[in-house]
Amino acid sequence: MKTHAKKQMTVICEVPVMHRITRVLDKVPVTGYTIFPALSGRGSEGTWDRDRIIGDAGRMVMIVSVMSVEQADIAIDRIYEALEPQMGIITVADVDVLRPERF
Amino acid sequence: MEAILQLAAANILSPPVLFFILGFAGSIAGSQLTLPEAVAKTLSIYLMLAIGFKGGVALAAEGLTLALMLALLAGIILSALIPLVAFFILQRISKLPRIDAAAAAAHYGSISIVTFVAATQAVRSIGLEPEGFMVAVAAAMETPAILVALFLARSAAKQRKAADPDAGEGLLQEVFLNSSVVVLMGAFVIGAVTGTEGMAAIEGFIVVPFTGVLCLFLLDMGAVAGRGMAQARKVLDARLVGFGLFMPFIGAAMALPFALIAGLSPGGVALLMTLAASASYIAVPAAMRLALPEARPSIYLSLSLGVTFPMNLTIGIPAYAAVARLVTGG
Repeated sequence: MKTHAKKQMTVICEVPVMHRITRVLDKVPVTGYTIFPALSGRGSEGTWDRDRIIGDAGRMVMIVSVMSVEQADIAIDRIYEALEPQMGIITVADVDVLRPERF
Repeated sequence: MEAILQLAAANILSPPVLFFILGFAGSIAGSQLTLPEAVAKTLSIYLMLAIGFKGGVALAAEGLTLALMLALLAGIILSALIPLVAFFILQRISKLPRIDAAAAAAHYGSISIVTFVAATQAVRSIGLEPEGFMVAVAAAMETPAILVALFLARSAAKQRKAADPDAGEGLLQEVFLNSSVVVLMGAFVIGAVTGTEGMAAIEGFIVVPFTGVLCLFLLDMGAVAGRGMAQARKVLDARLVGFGLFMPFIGAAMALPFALIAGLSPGGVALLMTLAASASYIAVPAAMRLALPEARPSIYLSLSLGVTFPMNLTIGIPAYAAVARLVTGG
């Protein structure tokens, strides 16, 4: 089966910052993204658990978006700028997709 | 003094506060007790809805009064003024960087709606009936403190705006449209519009189960506060803990003359003092993560959630109620 090279961007950030990231993705614009709630984890400040936190501060989400190489070039700089002072992780990976017209 | 002790004893021995203490003690002892996020959120929305609706119905009966306008104005002034005082004290007594002090100060100017709900329940249980419009005062006090904190930490806020010109959009949404303000004020308006007929229609949902739901919610909040206190022991020194314990009394004292000028009833005076004494731990932390991300959440959350919230719930509320009674002769 023929596959096509694309980029997958994954951003893990706090819930209050989430809309900043999706605004950047909307403006690029990418075709779409999916947001997952993060259940728990461990970072530089220690362990955390979604159910043990009150309010959105400190709760984390993961935003996943598949896009073209050109879109990824634009998005990465803008997302870095928006997320730079915040806690979070940005990764970009090479992925293969079956339906290139969708991304 | 005797009156304060009597009220404190009655408050501590009420089911909601005992459940809070249970959650708190369990958490300190290492229990993993916690409600799922979705349940806690639902309970919190229920409480906002019920308290907002009841306030609206009371307003419909009382009508628009000068006291309402004065109390709203007092709430807004207090919310803007308290962070300045808190910031000044923090700068004097601690070595916190300016940005941490500004973020912490914002929490003390804004309010804890759970403390307000518990205080409403507590003053009613001792026979004081607060004005229904105090709900609107609570909602009005959420925001000004955040704006003052941004002013206090203006250099960092300016840098943020330069980096992300749209940053203000998310912040304004967080500040003005956070779920507690929307539900509280929305239910308040619905209560005011539908009045006693509306109350008769949903009384079985929002009046009878209220105290039980509050118990369940405070059980979870006790566990959250217990974890906050465990965190506080790691990140706060004695001076900051002292600030978290005494700042509420300074806020309450600042509110007293405003409450008397507004002509509030003893219950209303107690509630305005409680609002001024309480510190936010839901709306303001989220706004601070957007506006002042360099400020350390471990400091401001530990202070408001681990120190001030449990102190207000157990000692503060009865003390404010006793002072309100004493001063107004109620």
